[in-house]
Amino acid sequence: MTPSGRPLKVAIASFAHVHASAYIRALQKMNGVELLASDPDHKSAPTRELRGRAFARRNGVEYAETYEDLFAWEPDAVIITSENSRHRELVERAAHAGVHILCEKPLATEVADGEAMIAACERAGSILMLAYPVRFSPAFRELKQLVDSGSLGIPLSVSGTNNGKVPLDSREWFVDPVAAGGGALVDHVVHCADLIDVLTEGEPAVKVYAVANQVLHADKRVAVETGGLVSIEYGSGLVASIDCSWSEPDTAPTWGGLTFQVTGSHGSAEIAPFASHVGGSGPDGQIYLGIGADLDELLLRTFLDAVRHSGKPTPGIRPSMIPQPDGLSGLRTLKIMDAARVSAQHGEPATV
Amino acid sequence: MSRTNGPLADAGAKPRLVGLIGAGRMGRAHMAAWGQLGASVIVFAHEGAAELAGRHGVRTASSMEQLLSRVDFVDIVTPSDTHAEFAVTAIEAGHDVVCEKPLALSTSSALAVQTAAELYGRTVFPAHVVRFTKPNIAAHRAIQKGRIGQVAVARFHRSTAAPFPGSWLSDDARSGGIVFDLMIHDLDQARWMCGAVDSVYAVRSRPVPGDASGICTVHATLTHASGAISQVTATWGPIGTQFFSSFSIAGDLGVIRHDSRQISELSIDIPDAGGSPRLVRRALAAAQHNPYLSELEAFLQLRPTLDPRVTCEDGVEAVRLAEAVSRAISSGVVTQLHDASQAEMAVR
Repeated sequence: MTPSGRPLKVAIASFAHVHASAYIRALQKMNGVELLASDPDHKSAPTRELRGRAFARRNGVEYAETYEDLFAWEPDAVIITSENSRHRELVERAAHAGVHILCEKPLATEVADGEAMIAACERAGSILMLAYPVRFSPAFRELKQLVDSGSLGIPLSVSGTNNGKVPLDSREWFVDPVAAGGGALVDHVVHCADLIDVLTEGEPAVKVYAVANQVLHADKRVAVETGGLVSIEYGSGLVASIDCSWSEPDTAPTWGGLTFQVTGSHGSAEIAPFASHVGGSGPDGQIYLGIGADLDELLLRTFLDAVRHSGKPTPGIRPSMIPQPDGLSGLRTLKIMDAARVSAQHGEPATV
Repeated sequence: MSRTNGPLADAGAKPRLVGLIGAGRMGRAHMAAWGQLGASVIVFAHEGAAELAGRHGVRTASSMEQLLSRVDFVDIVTPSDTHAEFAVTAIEAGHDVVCEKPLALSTSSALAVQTAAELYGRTVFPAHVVRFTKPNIAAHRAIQKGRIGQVAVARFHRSTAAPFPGSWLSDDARSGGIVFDLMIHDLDQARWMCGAVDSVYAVRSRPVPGDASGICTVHATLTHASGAISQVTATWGPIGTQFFSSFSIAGDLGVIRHDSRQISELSIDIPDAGGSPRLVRRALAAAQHNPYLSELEAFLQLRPTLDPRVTCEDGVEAVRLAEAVSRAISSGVVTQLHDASQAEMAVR
């Protein structure tokens, strides 16, 4: 509900990203939220992918044929789950329409786009929040407290892994160099980079080295990198490594996972926010039933609380509540991803 | 190749007299293994020889010359900065050599050992013990059998307590520091699992103010001639840090992983009201397997068909990788490598 007591109107722009259905499911469980979705670019997707009105019907959500109709509905907030390359146009459009924004990660495919998006939202007074759910996990919050309390001593090193299946079967654009902006480096560096951003409270990276290859899924003729390893240096001297590879085999019982280890001068701690599960075997192989916290719900609640608190955007005025991760945070991780892409291409470290 | 000579030349003979040079931590591990293998040992060391020999009921040598004149082959377990010199001396005296890793603290010294071994027709066996641990053997075999297809992305992580301040291990000039002492295990593993290395990049964590033991983490990123990429992480933690090692190796057909912390063949929980909580988990089979024994057994070629081999060249390449990591840390740039085994392949 909004302060005036009417339900909050939340728009879903595009079904391109696989997370759209998860957000819809989480929002449908919440009281005081009305949903309307639109996916006019669905015609650019392969016909075997469930998109557009059919997707809306399957997910039980109201559907608008065009973005004009979607924004004419005057939503309070929009969740942008388009291809990465379309984030900018949709964010600018939403900002112009006076709507608060939750944008799927990464912020954009190019740094200049990200900067333009932040500027557009500042002008419009719109919230620009990035969809990084892992920082909301209870395990990560405990880790953050451990670091903040000094229990680990001085943080020296981070080792992050974010491995998944190749997102080819569900949504082909993920392996399109233009629509996605790249492959595994674009898809999976940013989650771990975002966690480091929280730990360091926004310390910018200074130097990034990345290597990438296309050995995994070579049989599927994927045009982007499927394997990637990244090494990051921060100004404080913190060093980090991230494995962003799509190395979870197609036969694995779950999508993949994320691990994040912090080593400090007094000790180390590691989290695996997606590790809790009930396991077993069935006729189709292994069974893996995730039982961890619903991170999407925690992320969405944070966003919607800020939307309610801030009220309708006023051009030139900062929203009264700016939820994290905000656009600037998203820009920092985008810059790391971009530097990783440059480094992998040139075989040399890249400055951020 | 020299490795077909040596103790194998008179294969079939009973295990013989080992000249153990050094009497530190690795000396104790090797001494115990030699005993189990039924070999006799003579110890020579600047410190601790009498104590170690006394405990195991073996003799000591009063000088290097005396040792070399009596034994059938030599096992070097001294501080790392002396490995290469002892190895060359032993080779020149006509002995085969087991040498604790690292073979040397520089590629040039390691190559000098290799050159001497070739000249004198002797075997040099760099004791890269991780090649003889059960998880790594299992993983290597699975890769060889094609169970994960072509190797694409590999990660190796090894963490243990930093050496006590004042010990030779904490002296970078003597031990080579974390890269030559700890990380070299997994640099060798990366090469063993993924093949010859093309390039190396590495970063090291900042120094900890007031710390004399060398607490740090190093991340190395490697590219391999096979097209694979790998990342090796080594950590020296504060005193009391529990040892662990882990790896994850992904290929185009599958992935294999191991983490020494995730073991629960036996779990014991005995709450102690007065003390610290006691939760013990152990992998019995792995704990009972002694990789040092397997390693030295492989040297004796008691089970020639079963055990993985380490050649002198492997030892040289591990040192070359460690040197490249050190150079990358200090220079901040990528080091291109030309693995000798690769060059050899190209010649063929």
